[in-house]
Amino acid sequence: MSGDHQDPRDQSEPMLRVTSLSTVFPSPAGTVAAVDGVSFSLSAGQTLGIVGESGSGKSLTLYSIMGLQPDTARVEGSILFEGRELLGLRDRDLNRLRGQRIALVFQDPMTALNPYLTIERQLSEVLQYHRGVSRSEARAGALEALRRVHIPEPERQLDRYPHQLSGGMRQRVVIAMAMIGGPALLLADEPTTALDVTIQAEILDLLAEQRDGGTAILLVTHDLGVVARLCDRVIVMYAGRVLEEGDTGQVFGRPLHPYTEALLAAVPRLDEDAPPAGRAIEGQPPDPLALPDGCAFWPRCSRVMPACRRDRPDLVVRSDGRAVACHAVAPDPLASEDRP
Amino acid sequence: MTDPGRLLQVSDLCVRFPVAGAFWQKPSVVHAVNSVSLDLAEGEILGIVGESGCGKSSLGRALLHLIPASSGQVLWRGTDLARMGAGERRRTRREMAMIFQDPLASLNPRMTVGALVGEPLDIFEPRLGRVARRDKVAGMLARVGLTADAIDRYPHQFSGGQCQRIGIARALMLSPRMVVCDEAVSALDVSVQAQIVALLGELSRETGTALIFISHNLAVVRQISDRVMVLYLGRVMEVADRDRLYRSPRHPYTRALLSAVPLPDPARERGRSRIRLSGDLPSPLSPPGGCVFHTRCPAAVDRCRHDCPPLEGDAGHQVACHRWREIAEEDGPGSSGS
Repeated sequence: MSGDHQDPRDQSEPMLRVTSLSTVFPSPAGTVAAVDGVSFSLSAGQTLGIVGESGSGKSLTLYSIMGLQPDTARVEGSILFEGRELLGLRDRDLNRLRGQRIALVFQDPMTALNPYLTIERQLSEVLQYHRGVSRSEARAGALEALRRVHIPEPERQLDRYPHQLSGGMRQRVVIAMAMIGGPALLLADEPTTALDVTIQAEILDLLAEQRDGGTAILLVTHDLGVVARLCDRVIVMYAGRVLEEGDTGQVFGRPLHPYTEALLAAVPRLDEDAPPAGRAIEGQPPDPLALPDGCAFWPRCSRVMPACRRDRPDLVVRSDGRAVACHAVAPDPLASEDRP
Repeated sequence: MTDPGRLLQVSDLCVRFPVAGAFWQKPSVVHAVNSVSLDLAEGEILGIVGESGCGKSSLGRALLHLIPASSGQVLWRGTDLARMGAGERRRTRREMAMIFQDPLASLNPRMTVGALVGEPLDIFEPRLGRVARRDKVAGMLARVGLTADAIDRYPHQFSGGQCQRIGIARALMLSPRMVVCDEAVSALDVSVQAQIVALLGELSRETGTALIFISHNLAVVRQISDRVMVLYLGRVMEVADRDRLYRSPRHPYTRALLSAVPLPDPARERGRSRIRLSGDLPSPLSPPGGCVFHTRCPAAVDRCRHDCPPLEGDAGHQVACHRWREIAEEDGPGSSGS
């Protein structure tokens, strides 16, 4: 937030533009792309959800943006944040961005908090590191940060340790830590998965508040309900690739890719008129070391065609602004109007 | 009282765990399960839902007599489990089984799938011949959707969903009358979760095996259960036939839980109103007096702080709340669905 971070972007350029991002691991049988050619962009105040099942590469996409991929991995492509290329940035410069302009919220709040430090120390550490404020200023800042995430009796909580807080309160503290530098972009990896539903609902409200304050949020989750509540746009990933992208209402209301459709049908529903039975997708997600030729989803797909076993479909942006990677879906939206 | 048509009759079951503090402190007690009564019919699927710390796992384990009950009674087909002799309890044991949350952790990594699935046979039918045993194991694997070549492989060679199939095969090997499934699908991806839930439902219907299906996931419980019980801090808040509970929940806690689950439908989800609960789950070391839910209940009145409401209603729908009738009336006619 200090002067040297004035971004040079012009207003039309999105805050984050990820292009052909691949995260590649060496393996005895050659290289394995756990994230394979992922592209998307995100503007201020927008919320983008990445959904997929375990092994789809959704979390690794997020960690690769932060430069937190495993040491053995190689990241390729381009990650433009506020007009600046993050790939190849020196650690020192990356560290200055992390925690100030970009912040991260993990699934398990306990791993993000130091068990030996009081809540005050955890929060003021961020302020002292990034802003060089004095101790008393840091305490005031920490208190303010706790107030912003609606922690009851914030003065009392400052002197407590993480284990003395409930899971929901810990996640609030983690979000307070993430937001303390006033980041432009918040990356959240399954931020509510470890929490009970009533607590999850409160944390989602809190994230919506941050979004309404202008922070862009990139949310990784396996829970389609969480995406429905919070995200403007959604990306569906499978075996490291994007199969579909679009406005959340459109993708959920009228999915184009057979996988999106099957995934939505597999989720058991609580709304009354929806069918209570989740319809299973046959088969197992593929082994990343032995991906099938062609489209990775074809062995489980209900609309498989000969081309699917041979050629991997590219993600095609249609004239209605939606993108889908499937041979069975017409690139022209008018031609697919007859689909339910 | 003892009705042999009922598989399980549980009355006033309590499970308490002593918690050792530092040496100068008085040892305290966690009331994990508090006066729970329930019935289970042959072949019935009873869902048990609640948030973490509500006692649902402790209840499941106490029903199988894997942990002792502090008080109360568990009658298995009319006989008190705690009073059975060793031989009788052993014979009873083969009629019950359990499926765990983490499929990989619940399978011994050094045993082949054949050994794992056949182990119950080794214990209860040791005189079974080698060929007959192998046939039975292969038959069971086929029923849970695994191929016979799985027999000689090890658990780590299978995906999470396949491991859970192995766990199910092992649990069903002796054709039990009841299986307790403790968060059996919670670790699985949705596409695989739906497969396993469908498989459990099918097997239960085919074989007449009763299931106690414990989960924090209200939607999955709705999918599989005939009846559903809602627990909070070790106590039953509400128990009802599946459709009555989900269509017209009576307890403020059940209503809050249902309203908190986000629907995978953006238009509907964003138009929905949510019942907000105040505060956190109280410590089970010192549960609140009166109704245990009163500290977070949006409808609590003075009476709730002093009197613990009894479970009341007809056989198809029971609720433990002083105010459920008023709340149903506030909703207007039709939505209470008595």
